Amino acid sequence: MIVVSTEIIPGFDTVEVKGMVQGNTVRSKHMGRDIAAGLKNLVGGELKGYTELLTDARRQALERMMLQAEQLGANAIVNVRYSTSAVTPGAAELYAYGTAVVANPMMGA
Amino acid sequence: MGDFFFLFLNLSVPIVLILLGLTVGKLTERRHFARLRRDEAALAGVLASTVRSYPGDVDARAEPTLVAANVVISADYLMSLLATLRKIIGGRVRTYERVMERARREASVRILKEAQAMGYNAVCNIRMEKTDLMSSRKKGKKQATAMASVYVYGTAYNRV
Repeated sequence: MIVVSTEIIPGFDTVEVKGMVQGNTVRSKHMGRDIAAGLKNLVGGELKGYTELLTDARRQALERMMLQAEQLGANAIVNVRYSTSAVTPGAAELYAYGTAVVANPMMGA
Repeated sequence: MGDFFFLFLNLSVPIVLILLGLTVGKLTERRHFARLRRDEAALAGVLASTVRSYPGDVDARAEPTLVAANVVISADYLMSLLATLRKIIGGRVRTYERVMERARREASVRILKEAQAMGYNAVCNIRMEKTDLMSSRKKGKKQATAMASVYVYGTAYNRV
């Protein structure tokens, strides 16, 4: 599946728009990671535990969106956007949305 | 005599934290900036843009793909302390400016690296977002040390 954040895919013709697809996940922080982050907070620097947490969450949101597109019979998602919201204290929602389309390689390209 | 001892005990924790900020915090920051400069120089061949079209002639044989990266960078105790003092009179909070800059540049470097590792030489339509992990502190509770949590994403493609 081709997933891009632009409206067009170079070399491809969008032949059909299948509709909007989305995927989300709400992740809460983890006690052990909080303690590690708390220690890191004293000296500064990257909080790797949180970085991983968010990366996992982002991937999962993306995967859910791709699954939805697959079910619609699309082979590409265009104009993908990521968004987040703090649902409740200590938990963050990661949200990916885009437009599922059927894209065919351009003739002669 | 006992009073002095307890005063010393109470002060020792912040003093140690300030010293940590002056040494470890400063060093981490300096190293990070040095690494960012190196990485950015090494990634100069990857064209980064925020436009929605694909700048340059696109090599249609390689399908474009989404690249994304997260970074969470924490300020140290000393930075937070300086920022708190700054808030009394207002103005630029340089310590936090640097934390934000590090997080953004690091995330940008990571998507460019990811694109390069996959064999692409350009990333367009780059978007930056922040994630809110630390809004967890309840009102009235002691404010946690600030941290910058950003994520950056874009579309990697091949420019001829």
